[in-house]
Amino acid sequence: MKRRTLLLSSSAIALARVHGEELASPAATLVDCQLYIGDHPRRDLPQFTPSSWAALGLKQGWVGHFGAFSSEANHQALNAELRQRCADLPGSVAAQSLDLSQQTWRRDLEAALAATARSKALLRLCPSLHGYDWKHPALGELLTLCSQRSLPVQVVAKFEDARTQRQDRPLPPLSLREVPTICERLPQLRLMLLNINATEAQVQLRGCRNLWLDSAMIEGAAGLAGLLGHWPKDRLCLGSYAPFFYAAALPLKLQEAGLPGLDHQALAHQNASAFLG
Amino acid sequence: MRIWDLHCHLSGVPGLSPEERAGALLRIADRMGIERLCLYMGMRWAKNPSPQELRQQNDEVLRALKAHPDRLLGFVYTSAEHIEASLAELERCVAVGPMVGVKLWVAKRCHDPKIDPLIHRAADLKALIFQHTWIKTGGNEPGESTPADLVALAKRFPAVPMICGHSGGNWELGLQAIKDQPNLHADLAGSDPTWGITETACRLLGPGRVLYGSDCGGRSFASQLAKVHGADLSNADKELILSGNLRRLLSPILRAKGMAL
Repeated sequence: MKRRTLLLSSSAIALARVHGEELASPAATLVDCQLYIGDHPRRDLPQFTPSSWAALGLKQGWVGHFGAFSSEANHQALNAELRQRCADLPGSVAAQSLDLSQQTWRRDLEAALAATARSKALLRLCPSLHGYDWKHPALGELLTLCSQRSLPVQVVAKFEDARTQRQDRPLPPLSLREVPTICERLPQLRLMLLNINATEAQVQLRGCRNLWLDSAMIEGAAGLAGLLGHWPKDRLCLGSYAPFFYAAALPLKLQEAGLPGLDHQALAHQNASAFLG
Repeated sequence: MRIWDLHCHLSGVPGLSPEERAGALLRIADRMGIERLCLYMGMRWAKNPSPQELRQQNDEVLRALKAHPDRLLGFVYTSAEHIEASLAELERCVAVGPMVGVKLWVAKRCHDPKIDPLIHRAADLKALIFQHTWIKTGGNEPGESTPADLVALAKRFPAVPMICGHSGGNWELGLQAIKDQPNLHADLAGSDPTWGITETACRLLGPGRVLYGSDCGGRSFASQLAKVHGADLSNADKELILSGNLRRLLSPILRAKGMAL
């Protein structure tokens, strides 16, 4: 099927005029911590273009590559393409990938860091899709390295509702059981888990002080505000998971939360900036 | 654009009473510009409710409606496992009371003709019929209907409009299943805001058979509104989905009851 171009302008206009109300200046104030380019392994999705990026009005977006979901990806090549595509998206930060089950991961890491300005270096891992978990020695080694070098790491915890996945091509979630231990062992680590839901945050991840979450799978009526009753206010960021999810959910979730000014600003961009360093 | 939400609940919302929860839900809905909310099922759910539980849950919705009659529209919770009790609830809550629709959940699959007396009476009353559906990858609950089950029911009542709750959840399959049954309408609520659901629904069913709903409080209004606001559709189609289609489907019973459209 032919690729479609993401048309976000109409939604941005609609968002700004919901029921005649202006949003709290969504344009150019928001940081989206979870965006993707490239071909999704299962769905035909629209592609971000510079114009659609501008229409969404993000201050900054952290962009990964759907190709990294594959267990056979060449991450060095993928990251090179990602950096090139990000160069055409003002405000974008390349969330570069590694597959720690591949022998080449150290080489891929050095290539990723060498090609990226240190202040904008960011890694995004998909352990469960690549067949390893928190106990894998390479992940322990990488996280220790990231902690020592103040390199922020995103880990995708899940990819799709288990009820809607294709039985023949499952996208398994990552166990969260070991996360509190890792956070305790590496207190300087800047780790962000993507696609966590509110129950997981409140039950399995409770007390993880140096752990950031994104908003893509936080649900419930005013769900972000509800989570902030149980989760540190400086450890939650906005993430859309677009284009797998509609990007329009990102500013709408912030609007629905109805947060007071300081909390609003923290969630909109300050927490993300602190994580990225 | 006017927004009417087809699919809301009292569960998952803060508050100790139905009135408090309805108030909390409306305060959040106000932030999103949502004008009216369809409400069904009570504060604590039961998958296979007894007649007493059906009555209690409907009582809670009635209390919420009484507190906010200008904003909330009630659907009576019924079960094909208890036809007589459900018919009694239909009389109490719709024929006599203020409710305007019928909610069927997961007690019994809807393809079974045992449900037909309930549908006949709901149609007499012009009550809008909402049937929860899913096609779960890991398997449905024993009494959980699929969109194909609903097609079987809809074929027996071709003149009665019905809503396919969640579009089957696994919407790529669900929308395909219902597309050729013209009295079935797709509810967008209660699944992740996966790109393409709304565009696909409009392509397969036409924009006149697609309705916005949230499944709040389990879901956020935002993620579900994003399915419409973020869709690659005309503003005219979005207006239909956000309120026009639901207002059209509810207009016979709202007019009959003298309620505002």
